[in-house]
Amino acid sequence: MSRRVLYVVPLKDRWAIKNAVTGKLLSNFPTKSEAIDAARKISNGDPRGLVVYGRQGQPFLKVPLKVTQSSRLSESKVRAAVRAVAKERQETYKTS
Amino acid sequence: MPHVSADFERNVFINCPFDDQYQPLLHGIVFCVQMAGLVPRCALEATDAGELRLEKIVRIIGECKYAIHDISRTQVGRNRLPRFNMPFELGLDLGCRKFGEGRHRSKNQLIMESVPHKFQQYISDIAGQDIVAHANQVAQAIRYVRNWLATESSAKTVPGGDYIHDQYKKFRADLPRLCGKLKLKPREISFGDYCQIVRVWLEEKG
Repeated sequence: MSRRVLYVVPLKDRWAIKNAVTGKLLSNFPTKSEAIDAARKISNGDPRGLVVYGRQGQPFLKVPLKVTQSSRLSESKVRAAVRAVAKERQETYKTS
Repeated sequence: MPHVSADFERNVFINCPFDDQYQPLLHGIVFCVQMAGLVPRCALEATDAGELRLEKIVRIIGECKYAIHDISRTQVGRNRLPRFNMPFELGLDLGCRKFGEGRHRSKNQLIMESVPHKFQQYISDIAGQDIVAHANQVAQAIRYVRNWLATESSAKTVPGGDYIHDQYKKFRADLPRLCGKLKLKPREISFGDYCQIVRVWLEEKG
């Protein structure tokens, strides 16, 4: 069975999940984080089943497994850290 | 003949020094490659225990259409001997393009040094190639890598050099806090860790 690949792509002011093969837009969200979380759920957490695009339309490709195997960091831990730091920055910005 | 992988068109081999002094440039170059939508590869990546270093380098060169060679660090070291690894790997890559078959003939190289025309004093055979001087400045190196990728690579949408550098500065500002949350010291980050952190950061913010 072939793997289902999803893209998270910019859609005007929102972020959409797109089927990589059919090009069909499956759903869209107000924030990129929400779109990523929903796409990860649909792809059952398969790291090769999701490609996230940037605002300029460039894909952020996964580095081959043989490279990331040298990393002790799980993707979900890194994502949680990135979101936590972004939240802290927002809160600091609000209070300053 | 080196193996040609399916990701050949997306892979960028980075041949540069791995010392602490060069690390800001390496990190900037890796960030720029990932922001362009391509995949950085280098000899620091994981390997099978039985694979010899030269075998690994040859395999990676064979798997990459693009290569960035920084030959700036050839000065004589404490042992009064120059470092030849970078020019050697540049030679391997140029040889792969010249004598390889099929897709290897389409390989493309960016050669960088720190001071303009210094290479002519120690590796004059490569005169005639486009060689750029980054003056050990991260912003400069990012701009050269970005411009080369925008014109030569399969990447369709590469943001401007200044924009990439701005994003890189934001990423660098976040990195100490990220390391704190991941219970890592910045010096402990491996090449694989760094690529993983950059990619997820770009996915969330880019």
